[in-house]
Amino acid sequence: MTKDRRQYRPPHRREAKGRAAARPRRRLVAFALLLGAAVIGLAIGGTFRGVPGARPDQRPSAAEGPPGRAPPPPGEKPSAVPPAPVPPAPVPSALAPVPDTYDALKQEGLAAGARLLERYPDALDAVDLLGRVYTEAGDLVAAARCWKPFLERHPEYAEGYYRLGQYARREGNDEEAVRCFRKAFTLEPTLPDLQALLGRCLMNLDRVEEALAVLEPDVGPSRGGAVRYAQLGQAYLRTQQHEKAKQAFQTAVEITPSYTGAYYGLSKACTNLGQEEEAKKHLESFHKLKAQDTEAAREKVKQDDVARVRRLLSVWYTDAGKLYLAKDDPALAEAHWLRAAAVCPDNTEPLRALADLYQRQGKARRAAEVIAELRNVIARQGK
Amino acid sequence: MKGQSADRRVWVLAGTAFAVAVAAGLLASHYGLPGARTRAHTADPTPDDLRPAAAATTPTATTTTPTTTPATPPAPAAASPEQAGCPIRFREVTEETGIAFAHTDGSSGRRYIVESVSTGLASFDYDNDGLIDLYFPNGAPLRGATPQEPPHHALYKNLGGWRFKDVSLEAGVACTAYGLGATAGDYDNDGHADLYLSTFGPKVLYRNNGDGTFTDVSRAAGVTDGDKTGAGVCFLDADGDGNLDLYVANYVRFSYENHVSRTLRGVPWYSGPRDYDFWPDVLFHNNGDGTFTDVSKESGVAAVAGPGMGMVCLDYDADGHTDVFVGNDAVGGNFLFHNDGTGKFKEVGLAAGIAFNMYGAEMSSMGAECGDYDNDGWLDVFVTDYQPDLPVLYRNLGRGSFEDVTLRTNAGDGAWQYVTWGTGLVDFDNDGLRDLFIACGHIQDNVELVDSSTAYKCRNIVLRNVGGKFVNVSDRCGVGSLPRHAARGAVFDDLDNDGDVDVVILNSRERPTVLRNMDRELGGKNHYLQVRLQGVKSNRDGVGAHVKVVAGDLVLVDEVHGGRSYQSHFGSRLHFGLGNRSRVDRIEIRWIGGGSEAVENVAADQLLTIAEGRGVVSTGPKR
Repeated sequence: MTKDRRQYRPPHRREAKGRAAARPRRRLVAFALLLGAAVIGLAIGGTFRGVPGARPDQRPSAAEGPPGRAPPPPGEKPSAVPPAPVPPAPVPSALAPVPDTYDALKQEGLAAGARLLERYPDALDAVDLLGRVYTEAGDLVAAARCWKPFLERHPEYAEGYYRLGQYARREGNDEEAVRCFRKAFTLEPTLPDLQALLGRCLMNLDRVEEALAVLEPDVGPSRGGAVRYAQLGQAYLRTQQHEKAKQAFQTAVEITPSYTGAYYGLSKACTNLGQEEEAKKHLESFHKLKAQDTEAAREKVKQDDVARVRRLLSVWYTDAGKLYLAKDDPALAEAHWLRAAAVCPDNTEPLRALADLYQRQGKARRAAEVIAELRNVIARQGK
Repeated sequence: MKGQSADRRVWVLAGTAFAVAVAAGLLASHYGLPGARTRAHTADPTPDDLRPAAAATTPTATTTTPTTTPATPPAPAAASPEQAGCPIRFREVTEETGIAFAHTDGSSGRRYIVESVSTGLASFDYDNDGLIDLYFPNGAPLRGATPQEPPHHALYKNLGGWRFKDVSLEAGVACTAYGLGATAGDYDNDGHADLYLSTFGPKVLYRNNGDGTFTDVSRAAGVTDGDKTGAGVCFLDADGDGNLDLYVANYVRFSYENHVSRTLRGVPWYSGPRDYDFWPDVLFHNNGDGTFTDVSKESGVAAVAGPGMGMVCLDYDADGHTDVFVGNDAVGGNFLFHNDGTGKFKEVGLAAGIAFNMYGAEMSSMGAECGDYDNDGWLDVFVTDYQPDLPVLYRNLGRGSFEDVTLRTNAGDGAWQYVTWGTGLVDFDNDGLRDLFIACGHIQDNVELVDSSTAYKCRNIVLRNVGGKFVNVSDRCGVGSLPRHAARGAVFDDLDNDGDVDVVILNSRERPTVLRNMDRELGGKNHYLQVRLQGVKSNRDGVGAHVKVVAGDLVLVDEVHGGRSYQSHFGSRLHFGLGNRSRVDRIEIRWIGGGSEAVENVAADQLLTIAEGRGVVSTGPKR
């Protein structure tokens, strides 16, 4: 099911309400917390220095980030990835060398995310971007830690619960995933695949009737409708409603004709209805698509890890640039898009954004240069 | 303004207080002051907590061993507080057993794929003394590794009373090939179990000489199978001629020359099956004269190829012929080879609904096990998997097809975030329902660096069968709190002949874990029956024979298998939990080759040996 789901991007770019009114109080809280963090930092630093038997290479180095990192809350696993540098490093110049290791690229992404979040702590896109970087780094604990304080301030954002649900699901905690997805569903049921995700988690917990109650209603247009129908088909299969299951799987393959898993379900439903010939036909379709999937999967594992994250870093920079522009900071937007283009020259999105920016700023010559470069990239990709 | 000022002071004071509290906590922790982390740590349950606190609460030992017992057998334990009320209870006894074997994967940092899959193991009675012995395959130095002392496989003789002795050298089975799995079976029908080893390189067949020693007959028997990366291996009588044939699953076409190096998120990473091509599986026909012939093509098993791992042979459609299930790792779906009775096979996994999970997704199948979890008379199949995914329980629908019932039975509870390997559908509490044991451990020894949701060393999982639905009792049965390892193969047999099934787990790069089932020692009242078969016309071990036990309203079925779990072997002696039924009305046996017979009205709580056409020929110790 997850295969067909595209990477989620928040569909709405909203700002927190009443931010200005809360600013003085927030400054005070921030001061108090900074003071606390400083003391914690001293304590941790002292502790590390005094660990009996610790070899020098076991002590945290400057490269691992400052020692002022707050310990994880009780009962929470320590995160696998060092925290983003605080204070964030300035955005690297487009001319700066592009790192050639995964770790350096990841650190650059974390810095970009942390910088964005520090400047716009109440912007949904900022917290989402840093969360995405941590998720890519495999650190769901840190990703969740990005969202939790944001949601405490802005419980109205469905996207945060959606993300927390995804993290919980990844960790096998279906109960928590259901709790988060339900909150998100209450706030915004049309988030991509949300209905299907909630339904699937409920199915995992063998709460099939609840899953049906979630999956059956048409809550409006959302991306990934095929996934919802396929999950609905599974719920009908589970409750022996084979005709309904068949219809649901049929709808799924009508929406997405290359939906491999839906053909498998369709075949099962037909078998259960005694429609052997039709079942066989759908199983053959499944078999053909599965062979293609297998080849695609084999190609995917050959992808270069560094090239992949370099492209991701370019996407992160591009998204950060969009937020800076939306916040009326075109200079920072431009810097981020230039870096995005430098990091991954094949990514056309920052070039398009730059061309648009220069045109709007009346910088015709620079816009023309970028458009020429864009044409070159598209031509290269066409070959 | 006044209000705001007061507000400000409150926030500053609160922040300072918070900081001081945290700092004090950290300092206290560092210096080991009361209430700090170091003290809390000692409160964690340890294996010692499972040992008896006072003699008065210790039930009398009921261990019965037909041979020697050590001078000071270890005392049975009382239930720990968390075990109280849990019908399944284990205690780790590895230290007491004297088993010093430690697995090595021969790694040198180059991360060859064979290191990551490690190996299974075998439990079988090699010397016919009535005690189940243990065989641990080991790794060997791979290219670039420079071990000080070359490791070898190890055979541990069960001395009784939870003491084992390393007899590898004197028995002649201290194999130094790179071990990946093992199975045991009497291929020459001489009454002594032989040993077949799956390896990276030529495979090994040890013929049991019947005097406590073995002879390597691999080349003479013609079963070395070239120079491949092996996987699960099983003995079965494919054509019902009374001789055990050999089914050999192979993993990937790996060699030093085509080794693939990978990184994930910047850290070195073992490559996977998608990086390689595959060998077709191999079927060796037993010629009955000590030699075998490769009949892979004629039999149909070579018609397909996949990255095989754990496998199990079973008669899934009850037509009297042994079929073959092979779990494939991540590519192409699992194989189910249907046997037409003449040793000709057709792959029917997709049509039978056992190739993929309920969503039509490939499994990264690791271990394979079968057993009738719902007592409907049909053998179901359980397959372990990679993370993040659930292992799958396939319910046998009885018409040649299977259904994924993992979610409705809760058979994967607690396994989502772990890589799962060795497994057994075993009735640990003798209540007449088969429970599940799932051994866990990641293949990547550095996975924590790039994935916060899982771990290299994990706890194992025990799921108790309650009316056909599984309940996770890992924490309560004494397994969840044990030290964590990267488990691979797991075997399940009654090592102390006390009427409950114990567990041995092979841990990658470490010593194994031996778990003593404490059911009898802690006053378990349920009855059991163990059945050992002796074929006369059919193969001597009765491999493939179907056994049905009727005790009042309880009807249980099982088969004798020649390999199962993760590239392992166990359970030649069938074990049936009977609940509160103290007698068995009827035992029906259907031998491979067509014969059948029945034994009626036998007492529970004993081991019966039933010979083909002769009925009960011996009874083991009664509890």
